[in-house]
Amino acid sequence: MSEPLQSTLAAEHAAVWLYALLGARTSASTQPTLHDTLSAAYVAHRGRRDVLVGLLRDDGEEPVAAEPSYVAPGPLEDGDQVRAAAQEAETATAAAWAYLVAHTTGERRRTAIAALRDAAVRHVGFGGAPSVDPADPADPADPADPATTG
Amino acid sequence: MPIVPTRRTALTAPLAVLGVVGLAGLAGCRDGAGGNGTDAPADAVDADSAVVDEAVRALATARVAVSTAAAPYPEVTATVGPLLALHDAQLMILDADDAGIATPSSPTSAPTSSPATPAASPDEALAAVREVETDLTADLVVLAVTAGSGALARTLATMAAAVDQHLLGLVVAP
Repeated sequence: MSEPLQSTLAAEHAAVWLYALLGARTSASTQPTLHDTLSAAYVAHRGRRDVLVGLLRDDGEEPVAAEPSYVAPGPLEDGDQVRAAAQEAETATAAAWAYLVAHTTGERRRTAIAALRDAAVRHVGFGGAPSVDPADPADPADPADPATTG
Repeated sequence: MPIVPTRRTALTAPLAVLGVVGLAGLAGCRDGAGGNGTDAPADAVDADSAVVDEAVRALATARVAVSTAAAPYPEVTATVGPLLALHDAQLMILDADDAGIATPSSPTSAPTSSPATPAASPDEALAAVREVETDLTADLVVLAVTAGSGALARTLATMAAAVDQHLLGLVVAP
């Protein structure tokens, strides 16, 4: 049972790291909306991370630690690239939480569903297109969405 | 790229392995992926069949209600187009032939009830659509929590999340 929790925690560690980086790469004065959105996402992922740590400790497990560092998913030279990185992070964490949904029951599953939905919404909030499966990185953008079909 | 990792660990690396449970129809819904991972007993399969039936019913009802609410207003009809397409895709997933789970033969049939009076304005129609979809997500979450199969739970949960995504864009173009 602990593997799904541990792998979801690993994903949240990565997201927390990335959002700290994205926030540092975004000017609060020239891009206040994006900066605020990134800050909110950072706080949200820290919260999810802490919930997972608590669940693992409840189970008597040692929560997996964050990696010393990670590789950013792409260049972060402008707002569009930052948004793209955030979208990727949200899809990745949505995938992690969806995996946890499949491997839990009851209240833990409900918690995982809530986190999955949050990630899916943030993905769109960062300019991502809706998809049929928000937790599948391979899922193409919704073909019915005019924003993705030009 | 000034970011030099101290370990060759891409951000997505720990996540790539997490897509193990895909949206490959519902063929895996009977594998007991949730819980202890053993084969699901027959009564659990029957219970999940009921969950699928209920999800199909909820999606079909929402689809008709949204279509009906939007019908008087072309701009609202255009706005909800992607949402209706999503529901069509979701109904196809639940009705997949390889699921091996009985579903209603006509999942897109009209519900037994529909709004008695049309919305008085596009904004009102859109508000009705939001209400329908919000109720749908709540139903999908309940069903996902109820599902015995982990794969089915994942499918229903991602369906709720997909609806959430579309709700963000539910505004009438000026």
